[in-house]
Amino acid sequence: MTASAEGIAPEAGRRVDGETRRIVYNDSITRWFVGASVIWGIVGMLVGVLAALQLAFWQANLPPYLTYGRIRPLHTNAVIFAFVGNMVFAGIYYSTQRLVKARLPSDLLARIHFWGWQLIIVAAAVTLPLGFTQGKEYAELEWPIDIAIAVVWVVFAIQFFWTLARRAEKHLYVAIWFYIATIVTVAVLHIVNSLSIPVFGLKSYSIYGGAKDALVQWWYGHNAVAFFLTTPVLGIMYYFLPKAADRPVYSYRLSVIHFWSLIFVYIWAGPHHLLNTALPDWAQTLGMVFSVMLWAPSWGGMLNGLLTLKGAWGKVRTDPVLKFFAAGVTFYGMATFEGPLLSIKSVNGLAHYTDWIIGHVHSGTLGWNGFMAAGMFYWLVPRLFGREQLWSKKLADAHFWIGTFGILLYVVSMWVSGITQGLMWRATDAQGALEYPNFVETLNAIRPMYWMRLIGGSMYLVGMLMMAFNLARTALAGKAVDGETTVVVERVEATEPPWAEILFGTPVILVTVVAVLAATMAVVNNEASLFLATIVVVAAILGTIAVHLAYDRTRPKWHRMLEGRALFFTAFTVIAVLAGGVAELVPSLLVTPTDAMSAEAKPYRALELEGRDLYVREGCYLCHSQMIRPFTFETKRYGDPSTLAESVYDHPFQWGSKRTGPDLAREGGKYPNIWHYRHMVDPRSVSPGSNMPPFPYLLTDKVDLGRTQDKMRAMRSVGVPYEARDIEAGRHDAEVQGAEIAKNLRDDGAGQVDPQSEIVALVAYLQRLGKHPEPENPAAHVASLAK
Amino acid sequence: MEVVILQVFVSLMLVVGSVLLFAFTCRQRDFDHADRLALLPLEKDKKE
Repeated sequence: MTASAEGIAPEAGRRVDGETRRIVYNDSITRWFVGASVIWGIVGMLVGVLAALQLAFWQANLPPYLTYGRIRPLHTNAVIFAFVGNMVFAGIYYSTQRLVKARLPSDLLARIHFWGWQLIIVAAAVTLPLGFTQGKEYAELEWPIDIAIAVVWVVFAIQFFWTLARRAEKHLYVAIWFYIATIVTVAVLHIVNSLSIPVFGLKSYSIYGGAKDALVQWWYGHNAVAFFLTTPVLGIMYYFLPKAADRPVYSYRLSVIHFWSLIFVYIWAGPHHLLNTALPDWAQTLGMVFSVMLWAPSWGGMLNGLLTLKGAWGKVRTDPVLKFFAAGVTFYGMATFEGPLLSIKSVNGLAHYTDWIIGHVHSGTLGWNGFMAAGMFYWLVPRLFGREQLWSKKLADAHFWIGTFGILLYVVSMWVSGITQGLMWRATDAQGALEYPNFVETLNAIRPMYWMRLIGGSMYLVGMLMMAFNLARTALAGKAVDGETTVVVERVEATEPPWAEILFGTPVILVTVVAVLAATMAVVNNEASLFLATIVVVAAILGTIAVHLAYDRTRPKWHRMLEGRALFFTAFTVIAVLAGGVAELVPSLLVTPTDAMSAEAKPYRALELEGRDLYVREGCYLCHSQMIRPFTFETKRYGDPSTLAESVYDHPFQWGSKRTGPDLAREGGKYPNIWHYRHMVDPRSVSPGSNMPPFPYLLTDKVDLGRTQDKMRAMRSVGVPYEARDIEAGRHDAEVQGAEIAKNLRDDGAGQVDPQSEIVALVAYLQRLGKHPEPENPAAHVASLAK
Repeated sequence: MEVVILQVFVSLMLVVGSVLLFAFTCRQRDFDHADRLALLPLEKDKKE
């Protein structure tokens, strides 16, 4: 490449002369991340296949460490952060160096980034099966690992922005914008959602509780999909797809619109994970509306990707790289069509808590992420090892077809399973009674689909193994080479950037005025709001027309100036991204839940708190929700709809997102203690046909009551109203409650039961769900015993 | 505020905004710039 500086915008300053610079890229780091991604991808998907097997065949659970509740987080963390994470780092490092014509500035930082990230993955692989978890989906890792993630992410950010600072290409290609959005947003999401109070080494409580935690968690969870699984991969699409097709992106201008609309709209959509729950209606509606709006930018991006192949479709038939890219982008389109559909409240009423959501997620992850990764690896590895082509094109083709059929089998089986179960849950007879009152009936109906899913997932895994073999043979047949280029860097006499023009540019002023008016509208009463709404619309229209008329072609282009200034561009990206987060989260976090302060809400007793920790440790929330939606078919099955007050002291919240088993929000008192005891030891003894794993070790493992008071203190620090005397009496109260439950179990034929065994604590918690504590004040209880 | 009013308002704002922005960007006519940027990924390494 020569004369890269051609076309530097005139507003940047006056060109004088130039120097020729040879750049050797750091491609070692790309090779490492590619290798790590392939290895962890296979591990993560192998764990996924095991989890699928466990759901179809409960005997595949290997308690205590390899039960479904413990390995499901291992699967999700491995495929998201290890497989896709390493793939994204590889793609970002490779493409960024070439797009900005600069080598990564620090090999040391690159090594710290790589090894730090792999250590984090290993830490996750060890701690999750051991039961160390924060109990928040995709954010399960405990606080020391969370801190490590933040540190490594900062190292990545320093490396990335330092590279931009040294760039020889002034203007930032659209892929770089997507990377910038990824880096800043993931940092914000991770830090805000992970805020917790450590109790000891690997135990902490989220600072948020109940609905607040739900909102923050799904703001994070949804945007982990958006900014970890989507935006960086879109950046990769915008670089590698044109590269592989050897033609420029279909419409660069569409990519500009795609970027800004996507990052602005995506961040608002989190509450669609909480539709029809106790979350305030306004937040649900916002989530739904913005989710539906996401159709437009998502499909804009998809069409831009597919249309890039215009004129190159012939190549798709013969080139496995383009096959993977074309299918990957198509799956992106399908998943982003289905997502907004599922976010419509009425559709969500049927689909939520069912396997339909699992099918939706996997069409995105296996189809979009997995296939884009495969396409990128097949394109990259020959080049990274100085080879003309892959070791075997035919094997890559075979991978494509086995992977595609695997995805289809997986997704279709989950659609059938989800819709079947959703309809069975709501089926009523002529008298209005539930047609399938026993939850297990609905589970048995979908069991064949679980086997089909297992076959589909296994086929996909076989494809991954084929890819690993093919890539390894390609690498072994070649020799590692680092790409290099020569650029003419033109020295430009710096002129003061027109900051005033940017800051006080008409678009900025217009947006500010409209935003201020809209904010005013939000805080005044209805009549005034309607009036102001009209003013806002009129101001927006007139302002835009005025800007349009006053447009001066001789002056530098506003967006072009922005593209040349990475720091400023990043600031604008942060503003666009944070707008939704702040608007949704701040009101919720500031509100004091007055209804929750009523007599209805009481903190858990000490033993119940211990039982709750066990419930979180075993990942029960992954199969059991604690949120009864206000539907007749739900209230008939589970009881009154859940209220905000009921979960206000739940740190973390346990509303759940999937019902492989029934909802437990009002489980307390439904069955005697002995039922729960037997259910834990052998679920099928009391619930024939259940696929729940057995938990026999709960009978022998003991609760460490020496730490109970520390836990209560930590809970108090996050807002749970334990009084000093409650905490002081905590251990004693736990012993008293444990003794009562153990005696009751003995009386009902369980034999000798240790009052401090984990099963007793878990029973205490389950019997508390949906009930008031009994007695209401533990300290008073202790006092009465003393008398 | 009534949710339907809010939704209609937000939708109208977006539609109007989109149309105006489209007109605005068409008038800018800096396609040459976009064309050059779009070619960046196609540049090859020296050894490719």
